[in-house]
Amino acid sequence: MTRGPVILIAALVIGGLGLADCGGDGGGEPRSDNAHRATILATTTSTRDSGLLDVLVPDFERGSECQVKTLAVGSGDALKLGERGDADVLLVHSPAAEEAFMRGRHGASRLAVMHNDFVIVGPPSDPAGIAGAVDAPAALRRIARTREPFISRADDSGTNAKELDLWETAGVRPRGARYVETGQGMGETLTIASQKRGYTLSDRGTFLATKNLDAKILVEGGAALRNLYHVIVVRHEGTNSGCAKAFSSWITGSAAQRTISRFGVARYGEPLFFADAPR
Amino acid sequence: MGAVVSLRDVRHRRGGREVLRIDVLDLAAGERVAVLGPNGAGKTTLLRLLAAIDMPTAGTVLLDGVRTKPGAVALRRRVAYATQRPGLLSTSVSRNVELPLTWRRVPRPQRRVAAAAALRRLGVAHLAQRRAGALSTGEAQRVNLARALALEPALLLLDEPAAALDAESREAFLADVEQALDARTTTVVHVSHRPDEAFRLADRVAVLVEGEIRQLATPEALMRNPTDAIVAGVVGYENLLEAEVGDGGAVAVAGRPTGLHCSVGSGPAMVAAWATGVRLQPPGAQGIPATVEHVSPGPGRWEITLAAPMPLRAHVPLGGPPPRPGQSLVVALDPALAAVLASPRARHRDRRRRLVI
Amino acid sequence: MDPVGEVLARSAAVSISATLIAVAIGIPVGTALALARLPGRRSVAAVVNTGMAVPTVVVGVLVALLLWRSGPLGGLELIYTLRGMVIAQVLIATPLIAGITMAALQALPPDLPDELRGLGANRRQTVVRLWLEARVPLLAAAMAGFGHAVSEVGAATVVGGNIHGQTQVMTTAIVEGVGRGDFTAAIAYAAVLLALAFAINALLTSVQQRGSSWARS
Repeated sequence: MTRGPVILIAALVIGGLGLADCGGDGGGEPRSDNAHRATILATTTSTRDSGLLDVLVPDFERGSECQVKTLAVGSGDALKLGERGDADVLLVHSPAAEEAFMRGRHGASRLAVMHNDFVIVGPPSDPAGIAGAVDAPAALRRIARTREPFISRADDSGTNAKELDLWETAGVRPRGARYVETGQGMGETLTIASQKRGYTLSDRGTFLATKNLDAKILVEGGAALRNLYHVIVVRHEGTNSGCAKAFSSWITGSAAQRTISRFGVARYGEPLFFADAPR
Repeated sequence: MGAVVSLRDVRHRRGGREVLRIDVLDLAAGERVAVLGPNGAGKTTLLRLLAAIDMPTAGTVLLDGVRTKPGAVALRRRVAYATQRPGLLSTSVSRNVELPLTWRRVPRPQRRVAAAAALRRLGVAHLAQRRAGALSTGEAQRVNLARALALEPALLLLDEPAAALDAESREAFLADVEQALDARTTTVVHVSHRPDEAFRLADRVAVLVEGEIRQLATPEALMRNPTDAIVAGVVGYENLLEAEVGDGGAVAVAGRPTGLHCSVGSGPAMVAAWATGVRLQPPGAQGIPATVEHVSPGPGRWEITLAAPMPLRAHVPLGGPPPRPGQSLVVALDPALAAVLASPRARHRDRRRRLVI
Repeated sequence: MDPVGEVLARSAAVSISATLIAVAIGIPVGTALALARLPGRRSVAAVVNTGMAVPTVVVGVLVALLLWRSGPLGGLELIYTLRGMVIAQVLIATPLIAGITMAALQALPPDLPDELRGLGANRRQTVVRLWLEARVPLLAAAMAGFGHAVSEVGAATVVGGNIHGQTQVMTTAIVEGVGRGDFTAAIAYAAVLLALAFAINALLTSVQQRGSSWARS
């Protein structure tokens, strides 16, 4: 019993640290210097919620020595992480903000990856009667006029940027109790819209992938609803640029592009994304 | 020196107040000393200093000639302190008794034997496997004591061991304690606020009042010759009367001669008288006139309160007829059951007291 | 989302580790606060009490600020890892365990430490015996710490990032499931968490009941 308590405490601490290691962060074997550190991929919730990254990232990791940590935060937040150097590579869909990012010399490269489209979804009964509207801004004008609820992500994401853009084109400023700002990701926002019987703007992929929604696609198509995804390698001191560049090349490479264009067909009957990278 | 315990110039303060003030105290090996005093006198404080749990703010406490200091565990282990509350731990009785031996690294077989023997001496060996929480107060206190005795300490400190017990259990308990200590050579310091208890287990008794030892003497000396009114009160004298010492040394109370004599000088004094020494005489006899106020029966006696003009208490054997309330009598004091003391008003006593009579 | 077994194992590993470390730190701190007469005691006690009241997501944000690449400890590469989550959970559980330990020891009879010393216990023996006397509330402290850590979601999200295959734990999986409308999965995880909470509580209650029969009269 001499140094009993001290030994006990030391054992607890060591045990604690050991157990944490056991949990597994996704591999702990030593790697080559270049890929020694994890690669932080900051992307949008729509790419995660659609399930695409759950297929793409393991593919990439298998073929390289990089370990990727995927953060689904929304395009605006992803760009901010890139500015601070807290992320290594970005996969985002907010073109105006991305261009500003590149002009600010925060990115080493920006390549087109894929595109899909946005859709306006709402309750199947469509109380505002926007189904079949000629274009998105017109549909939004109707929603505003009929004062039906509209749910906005209000989180600086690419989707949110597109939504605000459309309101501006429509010449209407959304406000009031009927304009609900959730501050959350696409899946959450769709769920809230469904529960509140309101309208919202979503990317097609996330809408198809989200379960238990009582909603329908009411407006689709048209140049205004195009949704473009780019991959940006962050230029900042201390980032893992080797792996970031590798990911950027890989996702624009033919293998990944093929995977992207096939994604979703089996489950939804249609592809969720369309590959954009030049062959 | 040879003393097991020595205190020198101890001044102990707590909360800004001086709570203990002892110039000299020596206890010889094997001695039984009781510390008698009212609550708040500093008895527990003294025990804590002897147990080396506290260090005196000034002065020294020596155990076996070694000065106590914080952290001196080996020195502390020569003392066993049995606190007022049983303070048993949530485990079995035998484990409770063995634990302090375990702390001292006594090997298991010896531990078992010592613990069992101690429990037997206190008459609670049959409770060895019982959970400590399931004991009655009396049983717990015996186990508490067994725990201290099992250590065979050089110095045993008992803090009001019978305080929590009712009158019946107290008697049996003290008898067992006396017997358990009988053949031992442990030095014992035993603290109590009850004179009958203190006198029971003591070769000498220290009367501690407000942090000072007012008298340190054998029980008999204390009973016969208390040094002052406070000691007389603590020791149990029922009557403390203001008196005058005349030129010839005759002591008078309320102007009447008492038959007592004092050699120290004339002036104001006090007389301490046991209630059993207050004799009731018919009016007209020599003594102090008094009126009976209240009569009630007590153990083997009548307890009588009188006004004379100061209040007086007398004990008269139960056999004869008691006086009636309102009756006028004369009261005389039996000199063998009274003592003359200095009046607190008279002289400024020297603060540094020599203790031994 | 990741398979249930994996997520469950991760939650358990992270929270058990964090609890072990929090116990190793919290019990000594709580003991010192209860027993020692040190000058800074009041302020440390205030820190402990405040620590218990801080919302877990706030702890998460503070830890993330330290661990982000752009933060002072960014070089340790702990952000979005299980180890980083353990750190956050240690910060959440330790004040709770320290606070309960302090209260438990203060609830023991105040003369007890001196009684033990009067029978020859040195400081270490005294502390160990006091812990044994307070074993029931100390066990409760550990379980409360674990319960707190395993069921919190704010810090786990901010520090861990809910990365599939790496840092997704039960609580963040539930939130993700709800967010995707996948209520079946979310409810499954929620049921597991509830069962865990019940199990801990049942164990704690039975230990308490046994403990009370040992209480002194």
